Amino acid sequence: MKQRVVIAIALACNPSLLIADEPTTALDVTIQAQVLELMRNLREEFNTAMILITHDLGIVAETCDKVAVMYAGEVIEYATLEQLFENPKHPYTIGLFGSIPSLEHDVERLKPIKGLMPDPTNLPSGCPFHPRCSHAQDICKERKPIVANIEEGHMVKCLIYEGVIEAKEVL
Amino acid sequence: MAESILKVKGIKKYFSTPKGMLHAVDGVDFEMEKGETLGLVGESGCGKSTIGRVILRLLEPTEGEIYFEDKNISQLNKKEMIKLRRDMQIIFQDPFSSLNPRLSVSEIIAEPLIIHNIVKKKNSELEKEVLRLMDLVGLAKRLVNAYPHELDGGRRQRIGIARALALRPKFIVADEPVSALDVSIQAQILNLLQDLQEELGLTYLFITHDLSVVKHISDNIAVMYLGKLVEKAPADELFRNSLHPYTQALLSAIPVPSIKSKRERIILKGEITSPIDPKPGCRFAARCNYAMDRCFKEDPELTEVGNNHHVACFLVEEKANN
Repeated sequence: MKQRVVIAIALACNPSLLIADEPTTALDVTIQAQVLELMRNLREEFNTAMILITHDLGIVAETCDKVAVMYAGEVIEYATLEQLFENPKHPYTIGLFGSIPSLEHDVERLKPIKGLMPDPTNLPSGCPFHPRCSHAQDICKERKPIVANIEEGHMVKCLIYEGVIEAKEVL
Repeated sequence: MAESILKVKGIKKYFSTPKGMLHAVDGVDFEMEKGETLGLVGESGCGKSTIGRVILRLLEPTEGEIYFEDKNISQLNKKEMIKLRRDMQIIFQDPFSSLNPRLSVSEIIAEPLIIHNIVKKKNSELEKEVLRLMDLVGLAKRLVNAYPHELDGGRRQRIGIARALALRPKFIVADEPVSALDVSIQAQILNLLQDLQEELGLTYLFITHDLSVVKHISDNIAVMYLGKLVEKAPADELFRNSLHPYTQALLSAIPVPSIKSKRERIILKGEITSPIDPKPGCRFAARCNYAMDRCFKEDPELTEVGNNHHVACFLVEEKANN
């Protein structure tokens, strides 16, 4: 109910862009479903664009058209929903998918990303993900990856896709 | 049939509030086998944490009996209970508030060993045991003198796990142990809990509101709604063939991180009704799409419908009878 009030306040001036920062994170799933449904309907009705900030890939899959994945202050992968979910490219994105228990497939053990998020006041040199990346090589410590285009609308920041290093296994 | 380790019978826990009696847990029965993980799921305020605390007698039950290894523990006195705590431990949800900020990592892990007189204070045996436990849960040796505030959530939760394991318990209540953690850290902790279970033959009562986590880690799952169990079944069975309308709505409400599965979603009306002095009848009736007259008058009992699948719903019962 409280979140509905907040949504009403946000929509009061008929905005063309709505930024929703973890709008359902504090809610239970059945209530979350109600709020997401409400936001979807309102967005269609008022034709509002939305930036949805969330850590829940399930909500992304159900709500978004395009996805930007952030790590340590940078967007490291940007793609359409289909591209990102069917063909994730960045080792961090792949690690995120490996960390979530799946409802559809049974796995014995999850495949988490090793290590921890870096200290934002003291980011690693080169690619910020290199200390946790299973593909990292020496050059990743020095060279910052630039945006590489995988295909129309799918961009990734990783030296593998600049052709500088080889992936250790097929990504 | 494997050995039974825990049995709860007719557990009730009421809290007195200015507005009336709050029925946090209102008649719950279940049994757990040795080495099993039972997932207890439900939304906030449904009483799942209260059950965990009542089983460990951190809260006294209003009514009902708890059997641990065939021994009725609901009437044990304080002294007998302390002894039992060696076998039954808890991992708390919040790795920030469940650790004493004035104690170092080694002091926190050593505390249960000292309280239970397993090792004498400050000797090399204690130090060795603390290091063994830290190693077991994947905490680096160098953190032995660190304080909780210096560590991140994942490491703090590892301390909580090491502390719970210090007395070599048989049974652990894990109360939302990964809810406060980021997904990549969550996965690390879930793997750790599974490894420890295999290694030490632990039995877990795993309390969570996260349905994908519960499916991943549990052998059996019990679904709670407003103080009562509405359905209990083996994990796969529950996800494949849920029978209770609440379970069905709950499962359909999970956002799935996949774009291939476009599912019909059942959106529930309204919010959870108040647990204070609830009216007779099924607790879910007011939000249920299938509610009949009977649902507002009588309480449905949890009954087995085959395959170890239990459900408390008149609709299912009537379908079975026809």
